[in-house]
Amino acid sequence: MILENTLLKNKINHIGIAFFLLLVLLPFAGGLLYSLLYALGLTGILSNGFTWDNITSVLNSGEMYRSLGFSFYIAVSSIFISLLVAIPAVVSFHHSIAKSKRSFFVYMPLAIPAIVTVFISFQLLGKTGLFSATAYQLHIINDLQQFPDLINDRFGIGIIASHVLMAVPFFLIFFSNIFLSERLPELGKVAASLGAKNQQILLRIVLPVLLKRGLTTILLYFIFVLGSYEIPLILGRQSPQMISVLIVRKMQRFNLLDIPQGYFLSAIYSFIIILLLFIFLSPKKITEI
Amino acid sequence: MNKKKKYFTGFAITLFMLPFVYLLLAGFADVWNFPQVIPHSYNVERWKNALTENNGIVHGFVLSLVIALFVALFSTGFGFMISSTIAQNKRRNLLLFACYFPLALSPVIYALLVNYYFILMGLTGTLAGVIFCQLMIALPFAILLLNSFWNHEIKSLQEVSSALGASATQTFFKVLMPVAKPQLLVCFFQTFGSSMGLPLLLAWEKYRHLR
Repeated sequence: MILENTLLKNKINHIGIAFFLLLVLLPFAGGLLYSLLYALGLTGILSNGFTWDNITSVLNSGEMYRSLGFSFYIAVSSIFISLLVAIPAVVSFHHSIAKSKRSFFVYMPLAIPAIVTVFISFQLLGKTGLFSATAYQLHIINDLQQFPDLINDRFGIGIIASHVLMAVPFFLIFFSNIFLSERLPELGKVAASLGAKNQQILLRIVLPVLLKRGLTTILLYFIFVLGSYEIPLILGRQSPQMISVLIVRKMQRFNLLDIPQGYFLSAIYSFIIILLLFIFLSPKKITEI
Repeated sequence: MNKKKKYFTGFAITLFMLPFVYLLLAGFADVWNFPQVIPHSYNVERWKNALTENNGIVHGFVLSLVIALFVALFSTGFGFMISSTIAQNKRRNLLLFACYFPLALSPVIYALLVNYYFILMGLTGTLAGVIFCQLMIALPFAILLLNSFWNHEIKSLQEVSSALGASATQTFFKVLMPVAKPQLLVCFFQTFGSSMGLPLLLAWEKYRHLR
């Protein structure tokens, strides 16, 4: 019986590892390898053997740096604004957000997919959108041209607004649960009884605990925003474009010479993601999550 | 509830409900031009056409439902099995770390990276291709989600079951499955919802801190 159990267990383990390799590791590693080979001219429709040309032209063009810079700017701004809204709200209203019946309203926006968020942002923030019409009716503007450019603008306001719209409900729920599970209200009361001021409680107890416990999630959300596609595609400008949009544009253009550059950019993007994961989420830290 | 809380709650509910109210108004709007803040007139023709005419919406919805059901069942079942294998593996942390790669990568770029292999295998533009592609993201998500199930208590339970004479199959179906039922259900619904369009990474993070 024991031998039979061990054999069955081994068989299941082998099948499990096979599926893990087939569906998780192999596609990722294969895709990364193919993108590198394509960028180096070793495969693809126009391949003429090994070349550094595609890589040097991307590195010298400046488009990649602008795109990466813009992507990081959007990701940092979106996360920063979302945290700026969510954390004070959680500190003041954590019980309403996490425990009361009204928390249902916080959960609802999480069900909206990115593409629908784009549509809503477009309709709300555009020059003929709801906000513009409201401003007109309130006589804040007299002509729709007076309404500021909030979509397809150079500062990516529409993109940031859409990401904030998606991130705030998520962070409200996330931090409210940490707030209660870490017993921060009780800790605050203890600190207050020992003479700590409200500001000290917030800066020395609440914020460090919330940010430390939430660091991994904040990083994963940062990566999610960094690689977002639908939102910057519709609400962004032609230049600079966020990295996902730039890669897709390069790889799906009619100019076949752009395809290897697109593959090189996707390899660079993948390595940045892996590097970020290694720095903030190294295998040693996995057990702590 | 004091005044400050009442105002905040009212403001927050209005803000969170605004997209839904807007979608509902836009769905029924007949004429809605600038500078009208609400539609001038309404009709239900668009809804009738969408639900009755042969324009692919109903078919698309049913197809999405079938795909999501398959992806959720497969990723939950195999995710449970694989997470058990990984939990016993010496390189557990490294394997779990690898599960983050497909989840962290932009889905569009990931799709472009593997597109060549999909063309080679004849999977591009096929139902099997769509399911395979979704599994590439749903499976690592399920593994990460179910990994926490395999703790010391479960290991002790397996040992006790084995010591009392149960076979591996009996232990799996009659001991482990009932204990894991709540987590399996959560995994099923999360992968199902994700397959229908919700972001996987976020769904996992949400669950992890809400359970």
